[in-house]
This record gives sequence, structure tokens and C-alpha cells, in this order.
Amino acid sequence: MNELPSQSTLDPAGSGAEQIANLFYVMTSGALIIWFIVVGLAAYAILVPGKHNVRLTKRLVIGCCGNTCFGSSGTLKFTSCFCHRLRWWR
Amino acid sequence: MIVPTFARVPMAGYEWIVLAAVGTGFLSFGLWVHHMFTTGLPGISIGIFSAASQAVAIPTGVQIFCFIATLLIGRVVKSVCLLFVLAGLATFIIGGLTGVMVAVAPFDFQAHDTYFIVGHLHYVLVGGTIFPIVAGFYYYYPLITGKQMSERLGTVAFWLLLVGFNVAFFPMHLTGLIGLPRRVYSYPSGMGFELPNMISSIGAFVLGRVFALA
Repeated sequence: MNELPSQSTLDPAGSGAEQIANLFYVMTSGALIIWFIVVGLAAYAILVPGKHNVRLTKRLVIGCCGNTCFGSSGTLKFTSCFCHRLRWWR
Repeated sequence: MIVPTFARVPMAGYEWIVLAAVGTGFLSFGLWVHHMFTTGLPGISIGIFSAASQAVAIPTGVQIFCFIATLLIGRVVKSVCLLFVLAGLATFIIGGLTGVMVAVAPFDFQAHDTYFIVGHLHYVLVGGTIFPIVAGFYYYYPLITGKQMSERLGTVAFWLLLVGFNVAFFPMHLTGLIGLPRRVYSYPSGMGFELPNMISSIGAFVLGRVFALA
């Protein structure tokens, strides 16, 4: 079998690539948590039929919506940091 | 249309869904550059388009939570249509979350033009359009022909489509991260591409056959 050098993103060859690989692992962890919460809620709503408690529904849905917006404000913060870093690189 | 029908209540937060749809359309004008982050754009452009690409998760999230709220407050009748809606949500959310990853420009520099993008785009397109279209097909078929489609066969087709799709496209994320570029007809052996590509091929055959049957 040929032994070729790895060109995998997950096998970083430098410190910059290592930071990006770590970023990927962090984002994947966050993504898994979000996916399980949202799809779990949707599956619960479909697979456990019957009238659910309106107050609990409001809490769950508004809580999730709030987290979406809160998470996204974090995104904006990240983007401003990124622009800042790019300015220093150039 | 499908969600409130099978939840047997009017859509929760209808105004929010309309606003979210308008918001998605508006943001879309400022996110298409995420397809070309590696073309040597100025940092400020990358920053703005990266922010817009991530911000589109807000209106999309609002729509999804309105769907879920409608299902929670309603008295749901289980059907193949709703199963396809659930599959569409689950799939689209994976595509959206990998979308947030590739909207982060440094990660995009690594993943650009690899099979990770092929996996991501199929999760977005199939979750966002194909599964809802199949749900719509099951929904409107009785209206047009006057005959109900078989729920039992529909459920079998649903599971085969869902499994076939995921077996075909989920390993592509891994193949891309290992380093397989897009738009190639061949690749060198011994780099770990063989197994995930073989799994994807099996999934693709299942998906194709079931679509032909369904």
C-alpha cells in the first residue's frame, strides 16, 4: 500500500492549522448539543402527541429562540475579533 | 401548510415566520460571497460576509422554533408527511450547523473545495427542499387523485430514504476532512479515502433505488 503524506485538516502540520483543528472540535461539540436539543424537541412534539402545557411550550421555545439570538451575538463578536486580527496580519 | 394541518392548530408565530422569511431573503444578498472566501478578498469583505452567513441562522432558527411550537401546542396526528418534515428538519439543521462552521473563514480555508462542502451542501439542499417536497407530494397526492397513499409503504420508503441519504452523504464530511478534493474522478490509494467512499457509494445506491421505487 502506498504511504503518502497526510493532507488531513485534522492532522495539522503547523500552529495555525492546529488552532483551526481545535476550532473545528469546539464547533462540532456545540453543533452536537444544538442538534440534539432542537431535533429532540421536534421529535418529542411529533412522537408524543397530545396537548402539551402551553406555559412549558412557551418557556422551551422562547428559551431556544433566545439562545439562538444570544449565540449569534457571540458570532458577531467573533467576527469583529476576526476582522481585527486580519488587520494586524496585513 | 403541512405542520399546522397535522398539528390541527393555526401556525404559531405566523408573523414571525413571515418576518424571518423576509429577513432570510434580505441577509441572502450579503452572504453569497461565502462561496468564494479563498479567492483573495480583502479582510473586511470576508468579515462582513462571514457575519452575514452566520447571522442567517437567526431567522432560520426562528422559523424552526415556530414549527416546533405549533407541533407542541397542537394535537398532532402522526403521518408520513410529518415524518418527512421531521427528517427535513433534522437534516437541514446538520447542514445549517456545518454551514456555520464553513462560514467561519479560517475553517473555510481548510475545508474549501473538499468533500466536506459536498456533504454540507447536500444536507442543506436535501433537508431544505427534497424531504419537504416528498412531504408535499404525500400531502397533495390525495387532493389531486382522490386516493390516499399507503402510510405503511410510505413509512418504509421514509426510513430507507433517510438511511440511504445519511449513509451516502454523512461520511463525505469525514472524507473531506481527511483531504479528498471535490470534482475529481480518481484519487490515490492509501490515504484513507477508500472506506468512507465505499460507504457513500452503498448509501447512494440505496438512495437512488428507493427514490425510483418511491
